[in-house]
Amino acid sequence: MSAPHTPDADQVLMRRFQEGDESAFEVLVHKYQGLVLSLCRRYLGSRSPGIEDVAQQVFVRVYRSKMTYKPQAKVKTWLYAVTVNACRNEIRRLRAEKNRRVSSFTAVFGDPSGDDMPPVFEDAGSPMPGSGLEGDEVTAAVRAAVDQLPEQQRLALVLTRFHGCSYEDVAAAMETTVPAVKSLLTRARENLRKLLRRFVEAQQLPAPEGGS
Amino acid sequence: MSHAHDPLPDDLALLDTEARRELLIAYLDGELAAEDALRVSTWLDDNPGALREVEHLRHTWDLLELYEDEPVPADFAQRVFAAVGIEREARAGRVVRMAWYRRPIATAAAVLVAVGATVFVMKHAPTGDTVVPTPTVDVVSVLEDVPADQLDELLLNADVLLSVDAEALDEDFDADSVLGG
Repeated sequence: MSAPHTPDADQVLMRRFQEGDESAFEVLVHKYQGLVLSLCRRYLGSRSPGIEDVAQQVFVRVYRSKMTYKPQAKVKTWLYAVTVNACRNEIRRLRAEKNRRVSSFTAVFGDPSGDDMPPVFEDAGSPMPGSGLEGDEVTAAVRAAVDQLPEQQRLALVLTRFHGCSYEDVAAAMETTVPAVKSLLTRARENLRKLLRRFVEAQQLPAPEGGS
Repeated sequence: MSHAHDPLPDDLALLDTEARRELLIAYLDGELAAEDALRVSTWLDDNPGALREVEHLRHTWDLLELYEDEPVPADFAQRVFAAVGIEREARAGRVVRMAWYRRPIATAAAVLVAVGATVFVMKHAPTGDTVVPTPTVDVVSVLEDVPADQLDELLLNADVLLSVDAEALDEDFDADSVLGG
């Protein structure tokens, strides 16, 4: 016989909201606006346009689809899932828009041979000046490295590293399995290590054996 | 923060590169069970190459500290509430519109269904044994008996159920969970 489910504070808020208490929704917005914006910003890429619009849309979806929340679920995990879906839609939209633009360009000027595409998986940042690390330069390189990760790897990394999610929570938010999350994180970290190699080595760490 | 993990082999050196890296990352993330973490820790003491790899991974991870977040715009919550207000008004508008034009449409549709059913039954009734068709449910009178406020609600719910995919769920949600819940 399982113990009765005791709802936490967020679950109580969600229940009140589902029962029509709009003030509960306002509390949720104030509480989670930072989390939603932060996830949108890092998942969509720090230079992506319309991040705040997507984050705003997340809360509109929460309002509209409040009855899809199941009381047993952690509100935070559900919110992550809603945010991830909103971001994925935005990525699809941006990709379609980009494809349209590229098609129009190709139709008029011929094949650009991918010259306008951003470089992927090159070393992030410029060579280190001596042994000194320029703070802004490293910060920019770190942002660029995260932005360059493939979408799924970036999401798994952002959820674990910046949101402190467990593998299980990441799997729930991404609608995938824990082994898949582990695999994504392994590749993400390996890619990051390549992208940020100069900065890590500048801090005089010996390179690992067998690392490619 | 630990969760179920595949059992570790007796000799961790037998793991291939990919599996070893996955294990070390789970170790760094605190995702291993306590006894597995202890085994990895002990193994690292005797394997300087693997220890260097862990240090490299840890250091790369630490660099991400520099990716600071930006503050939430002061008016963000207000913008959310404004957007939700627009959404709420749009929904209320749909209810008002349905209240005056859906009722006669629903009544006309019910009459058509009843007449069609009557004609169908008369045409297909066995000859010589004429059956006077009687609809099992008099839809029109049922609808007429429904109080106006409940009729609005009934039609509104029908509309919501029909449009649930487009309006309430987007493509990301499980329709069953909405319709069931």
